[in-house]
Amino acid sequence: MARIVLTNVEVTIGAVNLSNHIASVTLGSTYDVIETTAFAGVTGASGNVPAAAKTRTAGLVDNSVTFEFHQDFAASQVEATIYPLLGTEAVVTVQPEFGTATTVTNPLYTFTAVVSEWTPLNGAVGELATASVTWPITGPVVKTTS
Amino acid sequence: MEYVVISNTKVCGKVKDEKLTKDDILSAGGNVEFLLAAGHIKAANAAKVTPAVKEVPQALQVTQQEEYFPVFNSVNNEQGE
Repeated sequence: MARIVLTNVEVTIGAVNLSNHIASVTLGSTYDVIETTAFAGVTGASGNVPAAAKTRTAGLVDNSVTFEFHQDFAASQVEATIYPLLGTEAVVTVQPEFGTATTVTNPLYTFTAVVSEWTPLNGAVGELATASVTWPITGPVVKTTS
Repeated sequence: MEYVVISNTKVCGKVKDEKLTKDDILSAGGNVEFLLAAGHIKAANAAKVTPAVKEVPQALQVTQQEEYFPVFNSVNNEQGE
């Protein structure tokens, strides 16, 4: 598989494509790790692995997404799109390569994010106004490959 | 109901001036009220208001003229007296 340099990621939030105002995206999933060690469940030694080892299994998954926006107060741009969503849920899609068919090498991720935070104004003198947010995801992340 | 994209950002994969339906919006995970409020779309039939308004005065002009002239004449008569 070829390595990929991100230059044309497509991000839609509430069906609105804001890709040209997003500089960074991180979609992450972390499972709770549930310990299942029991008295009778400890297996015997094998090679240099000690006999008494904890056992674990995956629990619930916790998904989240992080965006770095370039702020824009113009009509129907970033502020006008995100601010009304604050405190609500929004369907978000993320795809590595915009304008290319959804395939195994260009999967489409769809999920519902809780728009829990927003930074309308952030930056120092001479800097680009940006907004870095991390939104928890409610429910699963659906990966489509066709 | 049909809507027209009025913002410069793509909405449901549609660019400015392209039409989309409520089903298009819902299937893309959008919210019609939110998109209307944020200025991304407008109702497609909103533009049809103009011809509809033009037709109504044409129909009313006949009755308005019939009712108007007698009143106008009576005013002139009163002023003349």
